[in-house]
Amino acid sequence: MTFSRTASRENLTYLRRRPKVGETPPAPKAEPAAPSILSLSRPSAPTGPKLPPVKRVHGRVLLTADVPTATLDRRQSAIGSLTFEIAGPGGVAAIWELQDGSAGVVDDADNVRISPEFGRRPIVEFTQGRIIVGLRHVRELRRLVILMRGFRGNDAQRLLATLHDDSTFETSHTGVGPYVAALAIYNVDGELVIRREGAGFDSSETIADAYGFTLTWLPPVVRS
Amino acid sequence: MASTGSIQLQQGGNAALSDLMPIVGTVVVGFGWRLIEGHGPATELVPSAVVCDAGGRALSDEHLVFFNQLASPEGTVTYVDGGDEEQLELDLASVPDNVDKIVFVVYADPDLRKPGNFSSVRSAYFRIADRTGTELVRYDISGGSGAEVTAMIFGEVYRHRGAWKVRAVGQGYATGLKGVANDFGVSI
Repeated sequence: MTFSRTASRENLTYLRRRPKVGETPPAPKAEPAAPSILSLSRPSAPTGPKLPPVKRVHGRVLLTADVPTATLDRRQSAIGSLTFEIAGPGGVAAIWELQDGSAGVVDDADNVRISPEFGRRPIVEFTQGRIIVGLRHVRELRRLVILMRGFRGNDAQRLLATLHDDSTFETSHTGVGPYVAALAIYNVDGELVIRREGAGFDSSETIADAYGFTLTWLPPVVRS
Repeated sequence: MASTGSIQLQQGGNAALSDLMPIVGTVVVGFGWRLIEGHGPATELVPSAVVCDAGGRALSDEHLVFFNQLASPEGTVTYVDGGDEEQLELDLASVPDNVDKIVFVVYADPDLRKPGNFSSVRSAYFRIADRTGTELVRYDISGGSGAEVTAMIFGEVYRHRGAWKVRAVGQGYATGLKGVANDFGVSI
């Protein structure tokens, strides 16, 4: 396909040249005419499945294979800290991606416990045995995958998340691999949407690959 | 309309916006402060506005306007990108009758990793300007606060005998955003 840098792209409104004073702008291209006959039959275009109402997180919410998603409201998504911890032994880690496209892994097992800072706090940090997400700068965050590791055999492990308002959401997974992608979290126009996952992987890097993260960020080197 | 220059309010003082502008329409509320830089995590101040009824309660949870909830449902308050540290815009010409006042709350974000407080805050103010940016009224919050203050009501715009007035409040809360939200009936 040839691509001209000079031809005008009439399909992109923001690239259209503004008409000079006194110049008549070109007439817009005619849109396909709407059918003139009133049809009383059902529309033929599929309207799609009816979506269930959004599940909100108040009190204690359990995410299961049958009820895999929940949505935090705009206040829950932006105030204080969101923490993730494993109930019992085992480890928790995270893969993050910011709105600027940068991405990285926070995993104590790899000796990486921080991510880029805002207000001198890493937006995602591993500290005191848990992952903390700083929500003051949630607008910088595009998505997050929470990982579980350190399963004993195929035993189930429970992952608990706590919000500023003391609401919690939790899920459990079995050790189908050394690492399990536990939850995927997306910032959808200011609301954090949480989805339970569950596939097993060999490492955090293979999860990053599977979820389409391009890991660009490395922590600063600290010389001891 | 005899004013030249902006009115400087003292704590507890008030002014009628109709005395400061010919037609009370859209105004810009600007918030500012300076932080004493220390080591470790910074205090993260977040300005917000609560749209209240005559009982002093928020009309709904969505009537807390801040950086992640950018407008009140009826459009009285919107969060805008402008000058100062942060700005809100108030459309006072078309406020529904059930809105009695708009309260300006600044809170220190309660991050678990060393949440901040107002002891590191200096030169905090709020000011109201018209759409051209001309400052009409200003409240400089004098003096510092103790480490116990984690949220503060800077001021409010309220109805008084059919006109809009602005009041300098400067009231600190030791219970943070949670305490303030509780007082206004906002669940956070």
